[in-house]
Parts: sequence; C-alpha cells; structure tokens
Amino acid sequence: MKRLLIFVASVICLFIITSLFVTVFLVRNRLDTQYFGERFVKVDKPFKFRFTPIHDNINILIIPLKNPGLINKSEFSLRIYSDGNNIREINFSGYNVGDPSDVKFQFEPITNSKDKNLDVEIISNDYQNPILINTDINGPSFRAYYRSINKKEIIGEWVNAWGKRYINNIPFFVSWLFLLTITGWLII
Amino acid sequence: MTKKQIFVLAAFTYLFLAPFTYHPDIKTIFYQSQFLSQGIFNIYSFFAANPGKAFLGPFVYPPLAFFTFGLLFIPVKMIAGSGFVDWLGMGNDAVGVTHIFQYLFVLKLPVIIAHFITAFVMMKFIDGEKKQKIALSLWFFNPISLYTVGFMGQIDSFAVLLTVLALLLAKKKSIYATVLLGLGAAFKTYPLLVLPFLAIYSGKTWSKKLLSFALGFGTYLLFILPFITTPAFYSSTFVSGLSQRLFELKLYLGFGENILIVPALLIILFLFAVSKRIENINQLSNFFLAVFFVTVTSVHFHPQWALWFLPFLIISFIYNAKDSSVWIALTLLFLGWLGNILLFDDKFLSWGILSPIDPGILFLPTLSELLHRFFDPLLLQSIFHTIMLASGVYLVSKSFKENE
Repeated sequence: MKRLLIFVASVICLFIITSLFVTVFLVRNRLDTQYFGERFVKVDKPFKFRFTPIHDNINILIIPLKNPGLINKSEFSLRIYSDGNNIREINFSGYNVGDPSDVKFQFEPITNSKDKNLDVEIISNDYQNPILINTDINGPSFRAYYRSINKKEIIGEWVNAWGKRYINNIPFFVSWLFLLTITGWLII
Repeated sequence: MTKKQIFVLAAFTYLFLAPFTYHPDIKTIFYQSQFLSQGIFNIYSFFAANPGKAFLGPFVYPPLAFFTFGLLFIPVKMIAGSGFVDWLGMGNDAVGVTHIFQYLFVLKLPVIIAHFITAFVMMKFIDGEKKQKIALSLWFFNPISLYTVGFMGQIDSFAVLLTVLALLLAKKKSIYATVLLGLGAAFKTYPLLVLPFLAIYSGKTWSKKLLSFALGFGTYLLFILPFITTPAFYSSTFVSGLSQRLFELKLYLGFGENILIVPALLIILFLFAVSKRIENINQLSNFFLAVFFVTVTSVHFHPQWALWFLPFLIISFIYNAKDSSVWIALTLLFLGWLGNILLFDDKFLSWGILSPIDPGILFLPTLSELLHRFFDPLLLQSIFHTIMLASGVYLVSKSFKENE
C-alpha cells in the first residue's frame, strides 16, 4: 500500500512541479486578451478593430482566418497603430491562411502597451476571392499575447490568474474537490 | 491495500489529472458526434456535402464510434453546461476558455469509466488476490494508461473494453465472443485482426470456426453496411491510420515488389494458431497480445494504440512476475513508449498537453524541436521505439513459453 501511495503522490507532485516549471521558467509569451467571435465574415475591404492590452510588451496576435478552398494567394498586411502612428507591420500571403486556421502574427514587443488603445488593420492589394475573419458584432475573434521574463511578476500573475479561474469556476472546483475528498476518504 | 482501495486510488488519480490536461482528439470526436442529435445518420456523407462543418477534419472512425459518442453527447452536454457546444467547435483557442476544466473533466469521464470497467473484467482472468492487486496497480498506474486515458482521454479504451469482454465470453465458451469483437471493430477497426484467432478457439470443427468468424465479421458488416455506398466512408476510415501503416514496413525485392513484414508476421502467427491449436484462454490471450503488439510496434504508432495490447500484456505478465527479467523488460517497454511519444513533433503530445494550465505553453517548441539543435531527434525516437519493440518481443516470447 505504502509503495503505491508513494507512487501516486509522486505522479501528482511531478505533474504539479512540471506544470509550474514549464509555466514559470519556459513560457515567455502569456495571454493578455482574448475575444471569441461567432461567424466568419468576408474581408472585402480593409478590416479594422481596436483593443486595449492589460500588459506591456504585446508581441503576438493570433487571429482565426479562413481561406475557402485555399484560393486566395494575394498579399496582405497587418498593421498596428497607436495614436495614429503605424508602429508594427507584418506582411503575409493568402498562402499563410488555411481553411480555416489560427494565423499567428509575431512582432517586436510593444513596450508601454498597457492600457493603450491599439488599432489593428488588415489590408490587401486584391479583394477578389476574399479571406474570411471570425467575428461578432463587437469585433473579431483574436488572442493577444505579451512577452514576460520577470519571474517574480510571472509567479504573481500566475497566482492571480488561477485565483480568477477558481472564482469563475467555483461550482466545478467545489464539486471536483468534493469528489476527490470522498475518494481520498475511501482510500483511508 | 485492498483491491477496492486500489480502484479508489486510481479514481482519485485520474479524476485529479483529468481537468488540467488536454489533447484535441476527444474534443474533435464529440464535436463531430454531436450531429447525431441533429438527426444526421451518415456523418461521412454529411461532412462530404458540408465541408464548412468539417473544419475539425473528417470523421475517421467506424460508425459505432459515431453512434456511441453521439448518444454520450446528450448527457455530457447537460453536465458540461453553457458554452460547451461552441467550445467543441474551437481550434487551439479552446485552451484559453474559462470553463475548459469542467469541459475536459466531463469529456474524459466516459473514457475513464470504460478504462475502469476493463480493469474489473481483467480480474476475471487472474487468480489470487496478490496477483490481482499487482495487475490492477500495473493497469492503472503505468505511463500508457495515465497518458492516453488520464491526460489525453483517448476513445480507444472503449474498443479495448470490447476486446477484453470478448476474451471473457470466449473463456465462458459463449458464441457471442466474436460478436463483441465485431462490435469492437465497428468502433475502431483493429479488433478484426484477432477475429480469426478467436474463431479458431471458439469452434471445435472447421465449420464451427467459420461460423464463429462469420458471426463476428457479420456484426462488423451490419454496422458498416449502411455506409458502404458512401465514398467518404472509405476515404475517411480505411485510407487513414493503421490500414495504411500496416504496409509501410517492407523488404524491397526489386522490380517494384516488396515483402510486407507486418502482414507476413500476422500470417505466421495465424498459422501457429492453426497448427498448435489454441487450447486454453491464456493461450488465446497470448495470441491477442502477440497480434496487437506486432501490429502496433512494427508501425509508426499513435500513442493510444499501445492500449490495444496492454490488458493482454498485463494478464500474461502476472504469471511471469516472479522473474525479475520480465520486470526489467516491462520497465523498458514503458520507457521506450514514453520516450517515443514525447519525441513526436506534435505540440499536444509534449508540453502542449498542459496547455489548459497556461495557454502560452502552446508557443513553446516541441521537445523534438528543442533536441534538434543538439542531435537528430528522430534517431533518439527510433532508439526508444527499438527499446519498446525488443523488450515487448521478450515479454511476448516469455508469455508463450510460460503457457507451454
């Protein structure tokens, strides 16, 4: 019994330690903002949206795009503006867009991006056979990530994020812990 | 520790791990199977006609998997709560959703329950409290089970349950044993590989053996018959996965001709079964083990395929457990399997499996990409595969020797 309990405890500890280690020491890009769309709409003219990051050093945008039948091979640009100034620009091609796919745009971290309105624009040189973007009435589906290497800050944010997750999932976590407590009690 | 305590400890472990680990396969199959509750019977033709709905890929399993998960979808949806159906249709952004933990927990429950029932059925083949406890501990706490069932929630545990149940019915000399294998094949095609062996065991005369085979194959046909005229059914289920990989390992003879190694090994095993006769249930179990082991380890396998031979490996292992060499071989087999799958160039098989804990994990390079800077990860993966194959061959040969 002892050996099996030690083994299970080791597996669970290894799982927790690995998760912490990966999160704190390996992950560099962390989720800042995400928004979920409902349907795909055509990008048949320059497409714009605005978001306000809650962290500095925004460096990745992931946008679900769809290139039906992979027909579109046009050139595109994703531009990011702050206070009307073009601060980042990434060129991409219809070849980079799947049917559908999460297209990743990585750029130099935008310092001082916290609480700043960032305007994102996707433009093309050709709007025939347009690509589609996942969106709803408020804006497109996207995920923005920021770069962080400050360990103290990371641990603080991680604890904070888990606190929020716990609060947002209280009915589940309470039921789950209850279930684990019952099984734990049955073992003893 | 009693058997009950081992079951409960296993339940604790699997329930603890389930909400925090994610592999897209289980989400995809539930997304695809939800169309049953919308009145879709032929998912293959439905996806072919509506490619916009098939953005998570075609349905690659036989029809019984669609019906089973289509029915399971109803209670799972009720327990999972709001937003679940939208979440099923998401891509990699699914890991950032607030309620992902409860979704993953509920999605994996049927698979975990099937895994536990298999453990219960396996006990019918093992005599003695001590041996049963070792078997249970091995079944629940080996890396293959923990990873493919607890972490990934792979649906193979349903087909595995059916193959073990078929063996149990064969032990009881029931004619329905082959029917269960047919059902297993209608869920995931691989149990068909052992149908001839079960037929040899079940029937005393050749006509009875053939009848037994026909009963199993007929059950399988019954499920696939309504889809036989659907071209998408062939392209989705037959031209993918195992059916193609079975023919990859070959010896080139020249002039475009090859000797296909895996089919050759399976034919040899079949001839041994015919010549030696399968006299008892342990011998049949060994043939199940040999067939599944040869098939899985001689191809570039998916991690969950190792579950196919695992119950039969444990059943045979228990009777050799006094020999320390088999413990070493078993450890090497698990090590080889784990090393092999962690080196897949698939982010959800290494760090990515932890992505619900932090979605940023998905940006990390895979272990294979990391190692690539220092040496060839494919060579290392091949070494692990070889370790797994060699130690498994040793265990299979031991199991046959023990039975003599």
